[in-house]
Amino acid sequence: MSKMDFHAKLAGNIFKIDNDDTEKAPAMERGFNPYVTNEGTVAAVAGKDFCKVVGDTRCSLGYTILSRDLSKITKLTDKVVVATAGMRADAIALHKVLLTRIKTYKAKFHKYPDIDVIARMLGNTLYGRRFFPYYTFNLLCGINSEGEGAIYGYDAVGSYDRVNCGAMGSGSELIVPILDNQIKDHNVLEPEAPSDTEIVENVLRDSMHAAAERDIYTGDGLEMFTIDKDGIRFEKEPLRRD
Amino acid sequence: MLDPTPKTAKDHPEISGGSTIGIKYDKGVLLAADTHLMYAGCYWYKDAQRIHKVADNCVIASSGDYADLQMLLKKLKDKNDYDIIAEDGHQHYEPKDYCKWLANVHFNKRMRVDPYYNSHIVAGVDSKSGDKFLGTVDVHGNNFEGNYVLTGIANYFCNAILDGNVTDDLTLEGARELMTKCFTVLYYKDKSQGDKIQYVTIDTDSNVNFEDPVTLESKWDYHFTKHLTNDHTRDVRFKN
Repeated sequence: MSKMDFHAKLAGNIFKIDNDDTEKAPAMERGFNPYVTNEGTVAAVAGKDFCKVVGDTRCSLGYTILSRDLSKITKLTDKVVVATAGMRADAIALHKVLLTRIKTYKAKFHKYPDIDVIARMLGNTLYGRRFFPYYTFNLLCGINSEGEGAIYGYDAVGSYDRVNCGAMGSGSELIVPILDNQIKDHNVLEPEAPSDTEIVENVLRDSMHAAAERDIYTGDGLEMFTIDKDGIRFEKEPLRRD
Repeated sequence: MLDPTPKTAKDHPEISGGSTIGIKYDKGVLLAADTHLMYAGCYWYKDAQRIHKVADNCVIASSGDYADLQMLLKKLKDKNDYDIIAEDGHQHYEPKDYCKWLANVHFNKRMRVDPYYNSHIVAGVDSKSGDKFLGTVDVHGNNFEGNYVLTGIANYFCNAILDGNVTDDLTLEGARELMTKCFTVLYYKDKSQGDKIQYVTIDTDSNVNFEDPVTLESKWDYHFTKHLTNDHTRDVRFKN
């Protein structure tokens, strides 16, 4: 038997086994689905020396609203918050893990971790559950050790990148184009981070109102976190409730 | 030798209860649930208690699998007993902590893809501050608080009745009226809902009052329940 034939036979066997498996597989998957999606939207913009984060407060399940007042944003340190869309139960668990690990870091090193440190830690925490992922979509927002606004965007299994603005969750498709147009300086030779807090705030607020207008999973309340050298400020205002 | 069959988990509730509702009123919290347990489409037990006292100042109402609920109640009782026996200056759980604890147990079980099929309403009064607490836990471990909370199919029927009507100055009578309205709607529209409802109140002095179940009033002799639409156009039919 030539080497070629051997490979062909081996390949044939492999495919045969594969085919057997598919034939035996049940037509429909039954049983418990450990995932649900509670949707919601978060968005953030990093400025020159500040960072603004918004999130809605609706928690839905299918076409039902479970709660109209459930925060998506958790304060991690005096300079960092994490905003999470996706499954609430996973998000609650994830935020708890993050807070615990930051507390451990503080006990070990007698200082709070910088945002780039937390960014890697969050990436590793998410990837640690690569084969049973946290069904969460995170934006880690704050100011870095140089005092610049910084945002890290993640997927569910922990690949991440530093960005200057971002949106996550069910309304992200509606918000990303607005941020691209208003904040991200595409086609500009030397892009500059926005320095006017009021403009950024208005862009974010308008984006969320736009998302609440068209996305059924976004609405009820708007939380806005501002992170700068003075710490974290928090405001809350209503969004449409239908 | 290893067991070649894969590990299996229960993939649906067996004997289960229907909706439960909790409402905050000005001086406490009102909980209600019916007393029916279902096995598939059949009323299996007709006078089961679905609201349980887990501490002096905390009550839970549960829908979903009754066996899982009994297991959780056993766990809670064991936990309380050990806390008391230890006598180590440990602070006993407040309603908020029970809610979180249940959520953690549920999240842990869902991570094993072998969940407790329950949704709970946890209600109580903080023993130190005297604050009312009303929260809910679901099968995945999601938990949150609210002025009113619902489990089961009540989420679809009763949000519209309660939203906006549950205010800070709602009296016990008002809350009871709303509750009766919710369960009447559920009784008319949800086949798994029974008409024997048990009310439980916890007031801010931590008085827990389990009332005897009451039967809902309902009216079925409407014209449309006796006569079909376009009945007269059907030429072949049985007459009574």
